Amino acid sequence: MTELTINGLKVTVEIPDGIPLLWVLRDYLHLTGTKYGCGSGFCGSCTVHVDGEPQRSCIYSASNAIGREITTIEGIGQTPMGEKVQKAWTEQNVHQCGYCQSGQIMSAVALLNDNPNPSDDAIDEAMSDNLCRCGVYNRIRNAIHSVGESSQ
Amino acid sequence: MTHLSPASRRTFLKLSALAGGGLLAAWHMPLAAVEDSSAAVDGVYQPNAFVRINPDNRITIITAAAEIGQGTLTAIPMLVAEELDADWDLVSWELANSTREYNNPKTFTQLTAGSTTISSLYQQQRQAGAAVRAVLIKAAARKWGVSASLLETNLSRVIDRINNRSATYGELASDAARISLPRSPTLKKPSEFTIIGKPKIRLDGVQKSNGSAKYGFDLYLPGMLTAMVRRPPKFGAKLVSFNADEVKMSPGIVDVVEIPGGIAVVGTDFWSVRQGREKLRPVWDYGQAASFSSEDQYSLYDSLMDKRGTLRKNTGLVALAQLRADQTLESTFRFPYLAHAPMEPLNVVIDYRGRECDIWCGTQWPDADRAAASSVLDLPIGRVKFHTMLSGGGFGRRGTMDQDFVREAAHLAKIIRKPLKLVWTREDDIKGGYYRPSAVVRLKGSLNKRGQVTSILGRIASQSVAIGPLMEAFITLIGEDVRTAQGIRDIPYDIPNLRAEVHYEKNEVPVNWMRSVANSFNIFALETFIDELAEAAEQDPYEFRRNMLGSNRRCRAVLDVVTDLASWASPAPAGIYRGIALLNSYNSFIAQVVEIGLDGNQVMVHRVVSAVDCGITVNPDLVKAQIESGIVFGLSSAMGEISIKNGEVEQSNFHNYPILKIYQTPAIETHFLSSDESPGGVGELGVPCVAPALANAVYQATGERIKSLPMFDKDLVLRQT
Repeated sequence: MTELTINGLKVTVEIPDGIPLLWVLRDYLHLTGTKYGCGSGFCGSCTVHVDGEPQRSCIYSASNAIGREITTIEGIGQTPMGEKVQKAWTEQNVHQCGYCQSGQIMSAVALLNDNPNPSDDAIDEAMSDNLCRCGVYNRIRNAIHSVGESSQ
Repeated sequence: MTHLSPASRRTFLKLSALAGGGLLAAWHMPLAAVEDSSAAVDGVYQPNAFVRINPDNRITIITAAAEIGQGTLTAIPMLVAEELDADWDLVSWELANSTREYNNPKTFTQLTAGSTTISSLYQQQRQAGAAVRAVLIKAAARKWGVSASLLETNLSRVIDRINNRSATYGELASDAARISLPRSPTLKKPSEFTIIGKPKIRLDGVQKSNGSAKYGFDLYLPGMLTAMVRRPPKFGAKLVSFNADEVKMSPGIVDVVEIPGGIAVVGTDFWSVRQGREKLRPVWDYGQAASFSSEDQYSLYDSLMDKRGTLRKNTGLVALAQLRADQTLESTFRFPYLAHAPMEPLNVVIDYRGRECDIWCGTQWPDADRAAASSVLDLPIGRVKFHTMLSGGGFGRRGTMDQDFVREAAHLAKIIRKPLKLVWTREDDIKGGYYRPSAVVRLKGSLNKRGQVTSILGRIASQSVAIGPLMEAFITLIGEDVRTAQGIRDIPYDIPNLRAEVHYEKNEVPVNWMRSVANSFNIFALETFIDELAEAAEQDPYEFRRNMLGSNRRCRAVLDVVTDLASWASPAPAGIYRGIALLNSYNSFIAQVVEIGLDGNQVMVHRVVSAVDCGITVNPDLVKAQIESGIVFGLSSAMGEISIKNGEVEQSNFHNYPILKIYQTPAIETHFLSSDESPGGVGELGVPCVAPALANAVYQATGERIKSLPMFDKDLVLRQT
């Protein structure tokens, strides 16, 4: 049995060796907010926080997460920054299909926690490996700026 | 400490409830009146297929069109709520299942495609709301013994001002259920709208922000297995043999079986199945499949350019006009296959229990999928229940002519007979076909001495996206397959002699419509060619286009507005190059100016300015979002390709099938011309013009005409980090 700490809760789960964190969250725990998009770390749809750092859960071994704090989209709204970002996303109609947005929000929260008022370059740096096929990038940028400005 | 086991019954019910009531009792009532008081079960009033009023005054709008990101789950409820005078804050959405009353009134099928949703539901959904409002007023009038004409409605209440009383719709629900719906209720004038035309927040936004929105991939049934299919690595290859026994030994694998599409590996979860599938050692008979290449296909298409094709449009005498011309110009363009690559890979959840079947799927064509499953399973259609899920993107891939994904799931369910989730990996998606077809387009135009275009001949060689029996029927219904010549046969300019011809080639590569269909290549060819003609005529590209739009007022207007916004008349600042393009399609109009900069071989797309006339905009912010989305999609299409060599697709995932990233995305400014015309389509409108406008700007910067897509390669790249 493997013990993981997810969104502040301790969970024990029997999992195969080498399984990426993404599939533990989804197939074993039914935390389906974290999405599968590419399985190779290219698209960022599966982004979660491990000890506050954004990680691609599709290529992050679940066993590496033992003893660390895992935060998913279902838990990020409990943090002040997560709540602000989710609110900005909703109010500014950032979503279209919405499938990549859990990952976008997780990357944006990590960025804003690190850098409360990021420049366009900082946004490019932090967000460029989160793909969105609906192409809502400018709204993502504006939403991040609006959270940044409100923090000043 | 919590121990979580695989899906419990409770989780399952919770999920399905969140997924939009897929498992809840059906309420398949047609638009026609329901004369039975049972329509108000537990005080819930469901007068037609689209509206449900709860006693607590919450209103659920059931939307027939798929939500693939375009915002129908918000825009359709807005149409109903407007005429119902509903309190928007108490309105929520639900995705319809697949029964006949949800068919699109214009296409007679439940297909979400072709930018048709709002334009074809605009009347129907408003009527649905207005009819229910009329009944609620009648119910209040009877209850209070006053004339209905003295009552008004606002924020989900019927109000009697004279006697200073009011009742909520919820309170009136059980009385209303006894009254029949009027057939032709009076609709509001656009000037009376309070919801339509307002930039409302997406109704699905909160769920999509906190991870609770449920897509097909997110559904877990009790005891459900996961399946993947190993499909032929080359299109058209046949399976000879495979090592089922060895793969079955792999941890978590339950079964390995052959189905018509390939070898299905079935197991307990995604990871185990993926690991197991990698151990497959199939033997394929490649036949002709190994010899196919995109390059050879281009050569074949090129060779067809000198031959007459099937006529799609013929006005005037093109040959004579070209003979008499002062100048003739000819250009040939190449377009690769493209993959839709929706962020949510395809998936189907199916529960076949021998005599009946339930299917959950994010799809653009649920009634066709349902019919396909009923045919594969040999079940009467009534025994197949179809639950449409949220889709993580579609772009056409979730609405195929042969219902490939649901059909495959049904074939597998027939063998396995347990609840199954059939999933595609990203590699399966990129390599799996159903692409935007590749094409070669040749345009030949002529100019007279005054620099006017006297003729255009367009010749297109491609594969038809219309395959399968359903599409054959559909084409018979609409007369012909107009899609391949789309954009050229319906050119917005006054061209006195116009001829469009199509060559259809068949091969084993499955193709399908992709967002903006043939406009995605024909408009690139046409709008860059128009710039070539303008240059030959020694005219400004904007003036040149404008002079050919005598009869097309709305096209002229968007061109005028966009050039004004982009200061076209003033010289571009140093280092900035501009290009322009125009499109009239989907009953909408768009003109775009793209501004770029050049740094070595890197192209920086700085700004895309659009002027749009799409009639009434139901939700202006979401319409704007569609144009933004189309622009990014169109730019992605300019840099990616699916290429095939020795029968094999060379791309596999986002590292070699790139889509635009945030740092490459230009500033996007979109202006809407105010209009009282009925809504036109917007889902595809932003896509076709951006690449030709960009190519026209690249010509200004480099003097090179781009005639082969993708336009970015090692010599010219889109901004890199």
